[in-house]
Amino acid sequence: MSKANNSALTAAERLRKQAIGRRKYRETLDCAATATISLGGIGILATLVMLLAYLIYVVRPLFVPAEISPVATFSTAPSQAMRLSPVLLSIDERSEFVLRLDQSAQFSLIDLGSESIVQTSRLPVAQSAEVSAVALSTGERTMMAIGLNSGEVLLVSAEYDTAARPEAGARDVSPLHSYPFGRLPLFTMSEPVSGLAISQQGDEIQVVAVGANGQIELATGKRQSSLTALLNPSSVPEYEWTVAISEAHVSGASRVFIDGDHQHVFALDSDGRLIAFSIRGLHEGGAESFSSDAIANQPGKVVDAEMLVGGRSLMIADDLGQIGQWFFDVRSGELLLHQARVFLAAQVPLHLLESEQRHKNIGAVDIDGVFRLFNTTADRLLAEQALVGEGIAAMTISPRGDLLLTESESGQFLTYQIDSPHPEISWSALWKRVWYEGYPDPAFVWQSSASGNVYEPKYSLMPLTFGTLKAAFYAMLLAAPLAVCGAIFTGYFMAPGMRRTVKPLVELMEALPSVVLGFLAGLWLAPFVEKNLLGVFVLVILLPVTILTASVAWMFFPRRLRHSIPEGWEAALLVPVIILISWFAIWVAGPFEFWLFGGDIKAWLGSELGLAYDQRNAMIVGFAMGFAVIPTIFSIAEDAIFTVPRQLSNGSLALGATPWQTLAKVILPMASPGIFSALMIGFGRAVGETMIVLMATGNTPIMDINIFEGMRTLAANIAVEVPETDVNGSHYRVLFLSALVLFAFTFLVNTIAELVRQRLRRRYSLI
Amino acid sequence: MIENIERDSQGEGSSAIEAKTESDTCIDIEKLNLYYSKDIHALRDITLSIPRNKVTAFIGPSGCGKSSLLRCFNRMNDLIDDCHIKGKVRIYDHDIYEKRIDVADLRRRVGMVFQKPNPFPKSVYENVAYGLRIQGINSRRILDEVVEDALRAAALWDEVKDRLDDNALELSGGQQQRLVIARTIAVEPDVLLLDEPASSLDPISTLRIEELISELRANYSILIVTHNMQQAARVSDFAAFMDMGRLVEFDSTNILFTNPSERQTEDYITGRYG
Repeated sequence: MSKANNSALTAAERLRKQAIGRRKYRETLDCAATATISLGGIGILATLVMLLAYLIYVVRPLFVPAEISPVATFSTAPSQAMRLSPVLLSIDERSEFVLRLDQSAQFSLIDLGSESIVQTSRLPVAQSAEVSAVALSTGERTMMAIGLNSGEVLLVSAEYDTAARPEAGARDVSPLHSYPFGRLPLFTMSEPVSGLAISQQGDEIQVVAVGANGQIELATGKRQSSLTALLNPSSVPEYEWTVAISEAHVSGASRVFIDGDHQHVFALDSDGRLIAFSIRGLHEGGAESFSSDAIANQPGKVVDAEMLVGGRSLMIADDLGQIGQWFFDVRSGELLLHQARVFLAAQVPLHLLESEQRHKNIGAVDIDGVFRLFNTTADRLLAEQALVGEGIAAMTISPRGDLLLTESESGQFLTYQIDSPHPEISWSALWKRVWYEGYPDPAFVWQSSASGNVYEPKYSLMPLTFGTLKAAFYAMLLAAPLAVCGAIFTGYFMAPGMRRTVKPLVELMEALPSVVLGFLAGLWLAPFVEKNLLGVFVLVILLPVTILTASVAWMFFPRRLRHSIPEGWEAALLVPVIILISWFAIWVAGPFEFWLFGGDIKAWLGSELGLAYDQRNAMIVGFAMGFAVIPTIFSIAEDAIFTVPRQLSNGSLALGATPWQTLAKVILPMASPGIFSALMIGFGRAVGETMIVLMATGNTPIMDINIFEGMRTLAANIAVEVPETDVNGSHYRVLFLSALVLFAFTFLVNTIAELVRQRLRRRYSLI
Repeated sequence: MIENIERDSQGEGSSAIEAKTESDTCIDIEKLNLYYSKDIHALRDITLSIPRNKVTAFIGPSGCGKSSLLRCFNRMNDLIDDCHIKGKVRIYDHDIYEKRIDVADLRRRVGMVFQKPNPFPKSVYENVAYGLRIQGINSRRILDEVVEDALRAAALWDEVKDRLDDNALELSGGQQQRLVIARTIAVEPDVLLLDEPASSLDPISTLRIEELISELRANYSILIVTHNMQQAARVSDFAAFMDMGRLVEFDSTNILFTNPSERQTEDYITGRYG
């Protein structure tokens, strides 16, 4: 008995334990599910935040201010060689050596590592000769023209072989200078040389010398293409020189410049006036001929001038502390100078200017010894640094733009590190009109791939943003009415059986890869539309008219025929009508085009309306991207309309409202949050869509609302340019910035959409 | 009479109908059959005359077809696919399934209140004014008057007169249902169809709806479908018992509830029936 009792007890116990076990199991499962779901949600948020953080991380360096910091102070051992003040300082490409030339034609090579003179040598000129002017070539920085007080102009190349730099100790970095065009002077003026300029452009070297009394003499060297040069590329190129004496006269010019195209010469005369004149005639006829001259009206007294790298703009500093950037304009046939921008550099007069060779940067020192570095494209002050030491005798910026070297009047050298990786980028360069070199007006331009550092990189995001919105606008122009009207018809009027077929079919459109749509649009639709442009127009007008006519006509069909079609299926009858009318429109357009537009509507558009026609244009994008966006809008809007409670439409109908009144007054207001968010999501998709715009437009970053011209969108631009950019460069980071803009834009649109949707929902929802 | 229904849209018709109508019949149903598809035969051979300005209750088990019958009177069944009708329904001697009938106008004349309160997500005022606005009446003076009259008639005015601009969905369930009745009578229908109007409401709201029906009886022919036998007994003058799509018995409420002639009716009323 007790045994049985015992076993019954254990049975009960076992059941209880099982129940507890099951409960534990359920609780564990519940916990696991909660954790998994939370993890998923938090994971998505974290991914989003990380994405944003990474974008910001990449973009941030663009907006970090540049820095200039002192590196070293040294003076070479007081020697005979350094007695005289320098006329030229130049740092080599690798920032290892400094070449110094003093008045007595003495070259010194200073090693920046050991801070000592490695080698010295003197030009083989008369002992009494003094260097009165020197100019570094704007092309290859190793070439320089040296003018002596005896009137001789020499061409010297300072090609020291830094690669063969020996180990510490015995240093023999030779040769220090060479004479690629012979040791003889290029020409000899009858007066001391006071100003010199040399510029190398392609196969031409142009040298301009101004004498102390204002005489101007020019030498032009043209490279001879000889058989030996072709067979042996390393052979010294031969130049044929022509020397001309100008009729123009500039008194006491110390600074002379030649523009990048060897068309004009600019000289700063002793009164501080900038005089410019053309040397075009010299090149055209071979004979010397000076045409007009122009004067830059800098407000203050000019103290220094520099040609910006590329030779397309002249920077002029004055004693009011302003630096003006002047562009050359020869469109009118005469040379005009335009002041493109002004930097209010200092409150005190400026002292020296120095242009940088890698970027469009210009450095200026004022009389208080403060150095400031500006970028002209970005129109901003990059950095400033008070230079240590007394009066600056000479300064130079390294070719890479990362090192500043000054020599004081007492012979002390100071080096400064310049840390300015992205000088061209600024808010104004990205979003405002920028007056680029060689452009007639300030403009929005995206042109990231420059052939060299003489061209300004043009990083205006405006054409891309504009293109993005243009593409989205034309896509929505097609998609919004079609998708919303389709959704209304499907969700409200269509027979349930037909709806069950139509809705999945339209949604299936969404599964079509956009690259396929882009491919079709670019390679089939674009040529087709180009060939049948008028037909497409006719179709756009004829299609709605025909559909309406067909619908009205249907009501007058014999009753028996009408009743043979199930209710709500009448729309299916439109399919053959649409096919027929499409064919008809294309067919009828040919003769019409011949009759009305002289056989070519594109030419007519161009001549009569001034509209250019690109084959791959915004209309094609509108069709293709509209097609891609329709399913998104349709699906969400249809759901919104279909899920309006039947009892509300029944209530409205039972009050004697017609179906249209019910639609307009009950269904659409109720569905409006959903329709609105459908449109916004569609718009968001159109903004972010890449492949279709990439393939169906010419990707020209132009700003023109013309439907027949192409565009380049932010997304397509990233896709096109990311593969060819160097990682962590300015271009790379600007592309990331455009991705951030796209992200912010989509985020903003979606947030606004959600806010509006919630407001609407509060107004029209069932509480 | 047809002329009245077709032409008259200003609500003057009801008095005209009363003046002209000799008989006391409001709706005349003759051999009415209703099919939801080929297989579902929802109403079978119903023949019935519903008296005017009385409350007629339809009772019967779920799925007996009483709601389907009610929806025949304002052609709400038209909205259901594959639904078709044989037989004749005459309201004040007009065949409402005739081709010339304007369905929207018919529905204005034959108002309907559904089981679940379905006010529009608009203000109280706009809910009541809706029926007039869709007829193109937008004069604020007329609307104000009609809205107040309708809300008073629906015994709701005192409760909502300060909340006319509030969203109707903020009202309680019973208030919503009375608002829907007010909305329906604002367009001055001749017939009121009530499809289980109190079934989703609490007892107190139900009581108020029943009181309201008693008050409205003087001006409207009221047809009410209900599951609640006591309610049918309390509010109706006549009652029809239906089962399996057939009309089993139709008589005055007193007789039907106290002395039914059919055994089936008696079983149902006394609760012995499913």
